[in-house]
Amino acid sequence: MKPQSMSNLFRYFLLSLSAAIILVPFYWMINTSLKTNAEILRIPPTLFPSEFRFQNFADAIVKAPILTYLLNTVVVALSVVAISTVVSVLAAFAFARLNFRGKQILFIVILGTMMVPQEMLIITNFMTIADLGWMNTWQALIAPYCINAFNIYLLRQTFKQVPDELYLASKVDGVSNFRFLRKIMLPLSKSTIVTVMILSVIWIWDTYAWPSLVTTKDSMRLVSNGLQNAFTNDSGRIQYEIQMAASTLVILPLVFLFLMLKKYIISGMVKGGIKG
Amino acid sequence: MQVRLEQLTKAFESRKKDSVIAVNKLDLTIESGKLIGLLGPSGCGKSTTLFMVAGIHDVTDGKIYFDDRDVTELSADKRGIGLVFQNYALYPHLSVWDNIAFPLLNSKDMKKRLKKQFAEQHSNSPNYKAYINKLVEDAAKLVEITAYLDRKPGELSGGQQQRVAIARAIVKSPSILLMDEPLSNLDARLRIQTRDEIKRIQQQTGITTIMVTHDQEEALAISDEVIVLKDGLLQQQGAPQDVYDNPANQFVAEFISRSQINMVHGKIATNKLYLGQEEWFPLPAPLMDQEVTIGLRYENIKHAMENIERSFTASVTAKARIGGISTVQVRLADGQQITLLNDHDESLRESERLNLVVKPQSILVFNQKGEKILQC
Ligand SMILES: Nc1ncnc2c1ncn2[C@@H]1O[C@H](COP(=O)(O)OP(=O)(O)OP(=O)(O)O)[C@@H](O)[C@H]1O
Ligand SMILES: [Mg+2]
Repeated sequence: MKPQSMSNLFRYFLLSLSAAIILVPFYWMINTSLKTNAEILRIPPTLFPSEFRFQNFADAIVKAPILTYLLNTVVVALSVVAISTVVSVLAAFAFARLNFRGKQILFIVILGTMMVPQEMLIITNFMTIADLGWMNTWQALIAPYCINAFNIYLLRQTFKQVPDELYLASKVDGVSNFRFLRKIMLPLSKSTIVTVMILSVIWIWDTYAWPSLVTTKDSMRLVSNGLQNAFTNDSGRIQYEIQMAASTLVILPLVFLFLMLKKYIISGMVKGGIKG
Repeated sequence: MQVRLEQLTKAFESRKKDSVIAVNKLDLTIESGKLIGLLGPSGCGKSTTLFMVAGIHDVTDGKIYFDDRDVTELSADKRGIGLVFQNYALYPHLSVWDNIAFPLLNSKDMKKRLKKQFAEQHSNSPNYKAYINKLVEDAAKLVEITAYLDRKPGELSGGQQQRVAIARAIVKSPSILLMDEPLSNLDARLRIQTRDEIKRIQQQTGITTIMVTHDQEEALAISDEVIVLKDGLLQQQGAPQDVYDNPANQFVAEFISRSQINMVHGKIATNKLYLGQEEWFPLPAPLMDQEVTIGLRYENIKHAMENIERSFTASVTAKARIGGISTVQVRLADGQQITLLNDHDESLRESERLNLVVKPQSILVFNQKGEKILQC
């Protein structure tokens, strides 16, 4: 075998391995969601349901207000995507193209927030929200996600790759900054912008600690924290098969979204200079 | 429109203390309607000068006048210039039509101007949209790209892209057209073709044009006037043939001859010029004794049949032929090599002794500072 194909073989092996590691929990979720309650408790666990119980999905929808959770999540996700994309685009444009006093320092400060663990911010954010009397409100769920340092960084890198000359040419032609951003920068950075939007959605979908903290009412829960406690039976035991069925249901839209926009996400990551 | 630079200076602040002086007290006047070649080696400040005229770079010191109007502090979009970049700077996601129309549709001032023009002219166009379309098509026609209006820039060749860039610059009928190395990304054949196109477009429109280039052949071929810069300093300005025949100094002589010039070491002693160590001829006018460099262009050195006035002898060391051009290398008594054209492709033998003369008025004598002290 030639060394070239040897190293390819190795590469595929590594890729398969990491894909497997990522896919196993998914598989287990779907596997569990189709089992009967009795089969779940069996030891050793079965790798494949002995009979499919699709009823679990129906039970999940009936037993917990999944649709409310989903709707809440969609509302929060859309708001966050809308606001944080606008904020990120404008901030990134300023950092990439404009000259103003303190630009470098401000940018470093924003990057610095990426280094601080989210868990640390949660406490101070919580105190702020509580002081504002925002418990159990939409703004409490939305506000902390509106400024996203990573998205600003990713967009700035993409904007910087648009040649200076395009900007100078439009300046000579009397095109305003805002118009240049809209007509030239945004279309040229489409894939990164889609990536940034998707990342925001995923972030909201997965976020757990913050919504649990600022919502106490069931009607304000998101899928992530809503599903956690929804499926305990009378004896106080968690009904995993139904919880997993519910999880499968809420993850589906995300998987669908990802598959639809895969092309953009990958080229967006590559364009931003962050290769996997 | 006439362009006048007065003591124009640009210093770039660098991290370290000393700033780079990219353009140094430039004084020059460019007459209206002329095509000017701004010429010089890499890093001499050509682009910087152009971008100051365009209003993209701030001026460190000095003034820029368009006719009698001081535009030094005016922003780029208010100067009424068209700018063509070295890398074309076309918008890749827009069609050729959209690229050319972009300056017309995306500037408030331009829209106001066009609306007014449209209202005043009662032009043949039935409505404003058709009027814009006509402007775009006229520009496209001028640069001969009407067949590609629907394509994206990525689907065009380099030469075609360059034409689109020129069309975009002239569609708003600027009073001055500025081009930064418009040909440097093209291959040799296309370069000659496109440079002639530029000449034609400039003549048809009559727009005062400044074209930056580091290729003297390009500048000499199409410019009405060339301006030679070195290290941000003006070296010479004049008609191409004049600059070629009468270079102001050693730098210009070497730069403009594209290394087709011999720089021979010599000296002046008791009012006689020495080529190497050999006495050559008496000076027409007295000069101080000094070491000199004598510039002799390949094409100006001729074969003499016999030992006539101002001739010198040298022996053949090598012959070369590149394409249609034959050259001969000869050696002076002190070992210095001189190259000359072998016009008639004569069959010369190695170490054959030749009598050589130099065309009158083409012996260029420079002092140690590179200043020209004599041309005869
Ligand atoms: N933005 C800048 N900051 C600092 N120095 C600069 C900047 N732009 C140009 N310079 C310096 O100014 C000098 C002139 O640059 P300029 O770009 O005008 O040269 P040029 O004649 O156009 O050269 P080329 O033929 O390579 O394009 C160079 O020494 C360059 O390093
Ligand atoms: Mg340049």
